Amino acid sequence: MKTEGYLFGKSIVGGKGEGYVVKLKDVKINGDIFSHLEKISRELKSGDDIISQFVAGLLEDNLFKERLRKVLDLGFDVETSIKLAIKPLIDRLKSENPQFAYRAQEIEEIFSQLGYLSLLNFEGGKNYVFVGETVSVALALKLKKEGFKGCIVKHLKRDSHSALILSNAGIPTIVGIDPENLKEGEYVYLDGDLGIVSREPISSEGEEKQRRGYNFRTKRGEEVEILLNLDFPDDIYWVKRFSTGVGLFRTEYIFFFEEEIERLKNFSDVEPKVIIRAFDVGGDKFGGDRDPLRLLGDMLPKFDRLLDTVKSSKNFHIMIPMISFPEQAKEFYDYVVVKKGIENLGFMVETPMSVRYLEEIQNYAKFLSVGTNDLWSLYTGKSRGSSDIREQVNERFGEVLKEILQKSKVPVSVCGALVSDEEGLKFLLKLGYRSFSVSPSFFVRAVEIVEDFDG
Amino acid sequence: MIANLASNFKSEIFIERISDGMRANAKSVFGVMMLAAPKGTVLKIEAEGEDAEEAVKALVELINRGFDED
Repeated sequence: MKTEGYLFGKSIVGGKGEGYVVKLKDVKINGDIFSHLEKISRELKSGDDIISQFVAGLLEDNLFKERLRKVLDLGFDVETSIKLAIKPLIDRLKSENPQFAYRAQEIEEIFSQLGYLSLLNFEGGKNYVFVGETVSVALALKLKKEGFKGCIVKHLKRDSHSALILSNAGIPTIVGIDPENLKEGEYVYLDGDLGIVSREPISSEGEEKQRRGYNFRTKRGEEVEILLNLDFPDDIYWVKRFSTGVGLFRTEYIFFFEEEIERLKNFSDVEPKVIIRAFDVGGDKFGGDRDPLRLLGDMLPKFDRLLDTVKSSKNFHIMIPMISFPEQAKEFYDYVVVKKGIENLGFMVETPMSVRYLEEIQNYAKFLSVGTNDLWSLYTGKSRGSSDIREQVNERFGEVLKEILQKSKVPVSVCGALVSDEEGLKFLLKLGYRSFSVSPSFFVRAVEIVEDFDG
Repeated sequence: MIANLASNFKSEIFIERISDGMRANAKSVFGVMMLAAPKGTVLKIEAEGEDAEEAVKALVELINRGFDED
């Protein structure tokens, strides 16, 4: 069975659903905003969660209404007026107390949607699946009230109140799918547990299981490793789903929320390995004579804490990004391997200098991983994310990637966005790469591409 | 919850944050939220009207009960 027509997202609320796609038609309010807000307030009051009640209370609050009227009288449009009326409260909550900052952001998001009248166009009496950018609290209540069978959105925080309402209502919900991929009125199936959307009934669990593991074979029998790129300790979900390892665990999140470092231990039994990438040490910005450990400054205790976690399991590997010179690699080798006793040290190859000095750099590494995003950016001068990923599929960049492969004496994998693109992955397979780390939404498709590869 | 409870009384009710003297109408959700008062903040509750005493007592009880969150 092929999954080419499947759309892969992330599970927010489990369960299976199917129905006709209904999209939101946003109509900007310019008429009687106060009666519109009263209507929203009544809808919110029908919800059983605290935030709905709280927002309803705010909408009915005389002080808020008075502020809104004043701003409207100044000539601002409805959308801007609502934002300006609630702004002092948002600013105060954000600045006064960090405990309130998250709540303030949530209120801000809800209020930013109030200037629109959300129209759902459906006849009733059939099964419907909502498809959109995101779901506001009021809209989530509406989906619950109208008995929608599924919800597919591009953005939605798992712990948002909208997600909680959808969960309480038992509406299977998937996040991370662009609404452009689905047309109004077409019939879709979704599996909220697996995060899959399809126009055909979704395959049984048995077939899904065939796409599990970390070693797969091309048509010619060559072994190819496929691991995952992850960000959060909660992403253990993906590891269990695909029974694979982690080729790139990004640490931006856990460095901001240091207590999360400890939760990485949930991954300690994950086979074949979990590669944890430390933070950018600035190796692309300074010469080889600079001391990257000193550049870590206040971050060093966090780095030490991360190393303690890495040391707790043989499956954990630590990977240092943005290395350019052998001296930098040696410094990390002395600190991580010699001083801390951690053997699984590797480096990212993502600067032109690291390609040039690869033979020497790898003397200090057990493995290497090519970061195609920064490597492409630094070679071409194009900023990350501003260009089409498929621009990287070209002969000149191919030469650079081939050079890395030819120079490598230790295992080398690729973990940039290029790997999670159909053409990109085929390009890398043709160049000779056989170890990849992909985004979870691309895992199943990546396995298919590898198994179809006959090069 | 404060604003809901306060709205049941006829009296004018105000809450003041002692540390900076910021005052809010206790019947206004917006006003109470503007106090941005986390747990441990010292507050003064004032009421004026025919049921002022009951109003203050009810609000103090609500706060002492931890807003019935337990």
